[in-house]
Amino acid sequence: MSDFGPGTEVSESYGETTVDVPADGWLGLLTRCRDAGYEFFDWLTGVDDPPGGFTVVAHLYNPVARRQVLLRTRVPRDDPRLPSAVGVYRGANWHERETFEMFGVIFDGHPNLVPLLLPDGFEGHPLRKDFVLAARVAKAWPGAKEPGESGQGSPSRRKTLPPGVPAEWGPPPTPGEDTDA
Amino acid sequence: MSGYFGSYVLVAALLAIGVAIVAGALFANRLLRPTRPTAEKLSTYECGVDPVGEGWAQSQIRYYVFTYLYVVFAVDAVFLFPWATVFAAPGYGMTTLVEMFVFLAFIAIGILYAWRKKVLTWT
Amino acid sequence: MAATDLPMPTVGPVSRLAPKPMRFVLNWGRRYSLWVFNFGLACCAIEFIATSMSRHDFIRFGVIPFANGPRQADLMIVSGTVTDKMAPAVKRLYEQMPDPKYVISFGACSNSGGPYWDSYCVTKGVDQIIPVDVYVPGCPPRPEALLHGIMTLQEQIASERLSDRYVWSRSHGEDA
Repeated sequence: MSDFGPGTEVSESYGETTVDVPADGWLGLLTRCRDAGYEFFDWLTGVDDPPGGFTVVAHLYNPVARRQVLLRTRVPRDDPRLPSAVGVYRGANWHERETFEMFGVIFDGHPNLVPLLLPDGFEGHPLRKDFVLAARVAKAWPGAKEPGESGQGSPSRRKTLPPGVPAEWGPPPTPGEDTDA
Repeated sequence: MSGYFGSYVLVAALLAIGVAIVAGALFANRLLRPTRPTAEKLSTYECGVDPVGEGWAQSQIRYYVFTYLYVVFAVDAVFLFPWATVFAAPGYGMTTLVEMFVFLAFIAIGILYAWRKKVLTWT
Repeated sequence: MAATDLPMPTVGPVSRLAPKPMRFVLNWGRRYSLWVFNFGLACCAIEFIATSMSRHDFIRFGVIPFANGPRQADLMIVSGTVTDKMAPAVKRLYEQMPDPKYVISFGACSNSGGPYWDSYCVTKGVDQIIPVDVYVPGCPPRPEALLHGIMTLQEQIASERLSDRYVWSRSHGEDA
């Protein structure tokens, strides 16, 4: 279909159609697409776009016309709420659960918005850009062989923190140890 | 072993030897194995997660066909084999033969039922 | 029940007092009759399956694949990434295996976290939760590497003494 409704921006790149819509037009766009033949709900996920917010992306497929379309909307970072697509596509259920646990986007009207893949007791939303990968700090890269890459050089050299870790993050220095060696 | 109880004593001896073999194997195992009891080891196996629900499940009644075919063929065979060894001996006359054929007629009706229900053909 | 209420681990008297020739025979029986509870979690499971098939058959080593469950297995091969969500299940299934039991960690992910060592949700090596006897490195290791790992484990079993493994006092000083 060529017209995806009011408020949408359609763009084409490499033969793929992408439709951007503000958050309040999300359900309307999904419903229009479903009624126009895009009946297969492929996936729904999020993208962390600093500093603005999250982009929620859905991919639909029309099995009769064999065409696909990518739908996008933005939610602000401090209040990431979006109406749930479960009423339009039943298959969005678990995709929205995963987007909720990985990014923290809350889907209003979702019947069971609990974490899906993460273990019990996991704190935080891992796929956000400001989520610190603690393992890189706690443990040196196991595959390093060259001196200096895994701290095998002289202990007096200041260790550079791995990328993605803020400067003050790390295990506390043991008492009595000179931190500025 | 002879006498009235001869064959029964034989069966009892065979049973005792069987039990002794099994008990001996388990006893040898106890003498050889390490024992490390933990609380987790006694938990019910449920693929690593906590078991839910009861251990009882209900079978479906449509599997009666297997029981039925078993009765028709295997129980029939159990009766046929001893009969086949003695029916021609002196003292067992025409009555023995006719009795067995009456029994086989009942079995044949059962097989006819199975045939009509199409359970005897490959699907 | 508290862990302190359970009796200490012991080894049967014949096993403990066996002279060397008898121990040789018992170890021989144990190492050539391993039944594998293959814990296939990821891509290394495919290599494990390839090792169990006809080309690199490990049944000729006496290792029978695909035990019916942990209760009938004596070797656990952890192949693939152990995630934090799966880790309690791995631990519990290891505990449900009867002794004597052995563990082979197959592949980089179960050795030390592998290529996903910095993930938010990966256990950095299965030896953080269960004791491992043999580590097979690789990503994924070749089937021949698993055969080598199994042979290494069999050599370990050949030279072991069960009471050293299960009775603390035997291997830590005091003569039982």
